[in-house]
Amino acid sequence: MSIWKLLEIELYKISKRPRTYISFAAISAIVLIFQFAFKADGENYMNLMLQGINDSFQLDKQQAMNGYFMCYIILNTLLVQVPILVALVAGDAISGEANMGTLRLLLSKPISRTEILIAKFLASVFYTIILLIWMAFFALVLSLWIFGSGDMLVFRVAGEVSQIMQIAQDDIVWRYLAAFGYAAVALTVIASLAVFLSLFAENSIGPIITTICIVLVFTIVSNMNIPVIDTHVKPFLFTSYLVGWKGFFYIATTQDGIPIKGSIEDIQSIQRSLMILVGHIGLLLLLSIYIFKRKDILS
Amino acid sequence: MGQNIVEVEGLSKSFASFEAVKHISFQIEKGSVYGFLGQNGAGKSTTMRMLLSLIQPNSGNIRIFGKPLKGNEKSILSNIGAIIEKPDTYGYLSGYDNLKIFSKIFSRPTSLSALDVLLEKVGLKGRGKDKVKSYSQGMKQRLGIAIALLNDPDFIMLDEPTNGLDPQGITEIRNLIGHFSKNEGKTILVSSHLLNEIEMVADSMIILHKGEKIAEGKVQQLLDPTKTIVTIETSNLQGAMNLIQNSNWSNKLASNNELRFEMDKEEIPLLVKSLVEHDIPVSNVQSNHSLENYFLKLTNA
Repeated sequence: MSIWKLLEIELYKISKRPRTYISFAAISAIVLIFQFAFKADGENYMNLMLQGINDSFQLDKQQAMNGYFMCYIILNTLLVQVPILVALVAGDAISGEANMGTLRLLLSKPISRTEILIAKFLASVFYTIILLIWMAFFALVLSLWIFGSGDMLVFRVAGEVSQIMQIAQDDIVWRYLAAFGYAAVALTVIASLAVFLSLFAENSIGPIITTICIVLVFTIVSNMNIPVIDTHVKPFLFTSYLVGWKGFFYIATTQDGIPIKGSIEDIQSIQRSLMILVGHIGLLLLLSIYIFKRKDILS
Repeated sequence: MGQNIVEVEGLSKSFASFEAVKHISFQIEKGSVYGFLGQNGAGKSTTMRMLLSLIQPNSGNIRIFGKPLKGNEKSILSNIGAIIEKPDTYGYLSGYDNLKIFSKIFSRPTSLSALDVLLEKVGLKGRGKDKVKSYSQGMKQRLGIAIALLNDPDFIMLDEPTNGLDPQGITEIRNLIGHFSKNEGKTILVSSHLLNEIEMVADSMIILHKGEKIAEGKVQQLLDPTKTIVTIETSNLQGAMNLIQNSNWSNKLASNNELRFEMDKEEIPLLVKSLVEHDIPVSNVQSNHSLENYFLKLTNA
């Protein structure tokens, strides 16, 4: 029995479960509401964002509020919520089968537990990627269609300093592709965590809620600006690295402050964050396999 | 003696301080129907789960098809069909979809015509397109059996297959077991907490109680009619005791405090006749098989 055949079976089962589509509907609804709100009242939002620099920075707000900018704003908001949607499916991977009683049926067939776990993990990753593609379509493609394209503004707050960066139109698409790629890795950590937690439960509510709680608590701590937490806690929380995708939009500048096309301000930081996330995935996956292989199936 | 499909030796399993299975050993002969009898919590399902590698034993050896289970799980499980406890399947999928999923695992044909043959075999013809959640308990049981049969296994394990079924469903499952054993030569392990259920389908059986083996053997031998326990009620117990102790029946007497005899059922009328001829009034005669009696005592306890 090949992993691919098992993956096909897992994807088929996921595709047949109504809860799978809750995430797609939720993303569509949130993005459409955003787009409607910005279309109706985007200028006020831009005024709020540009408060204080309106006098020193001449900007065509209508042109600045283009599809690329919209997508950035949507991703900033949504990528905090998407882990919850990923947990909905990944947290069900093993516990859902245990709850239905199908886990013992599946494991009494000639398939190794490692194969089953890897297939379920890959199915969760596949689902995450499809969810991101769906998000990319709605947040980027649809926004470009509604709001048009143009140079992109990126607002950045680093400590006490607020910054606005402008990225040329022909320097944006690759950044989005890289950002979505990074987000896929980041969300795979959430999927791995949810699959891992699903090993210990016999209904999917427990692992889903536990995953969400862990992400929420870690995210809150990751956003605390307290020196002792910055140095001693944040580096050990995977949530500190989930927003690393933004790094692709922090463009390097010359000494005169002119953006350098095709550049990234701190590529090493992105690479390090990616490695830490991949490490989390590997560790959670290996730990899951180790535990699952020794688990007595009592459900 | 025929070839053994299953050989279990000294199997034990504990969950924390609870000993679920205590050092049990048994063999299942090829082509036979082997019964697992015991109350809930006797260790039947735990043992069956160990035979399927779902649970790791603390000690003991399991050999199936002549090979140790440990290390040969894939090849052994590819020739076993099983339903453990309940025939749980994917309720949100149709009967066809459930069969297709497990057919793919076994690389078996997934065409509707191939699946229809299987559904017809278990009496679910025409219900393949329906979602399993709309099935009755009996239909779910039959679908579970269809999944267990997908790989045309030599060895089938059915854990409490008649649980929750109506009398017609129970008869149908019983007939299916008989069919697979007699017509298709399959070896079947079937568990139940009902003695008569095992008596009707099994050739051999093992009785488990609180994780321990308390009896094992051929059903016909274990339920031998000569091992009947007969209890006679009379208003003149002392007179009856004196009479019996001086008669040919004395060697059959099982108790000196009451009229209990171990004898063949066919001898009961002669015993009653002898008592009546000696003016001992007989108000009640109760006959139980010794094993049945023992099992009933366990169940009532």
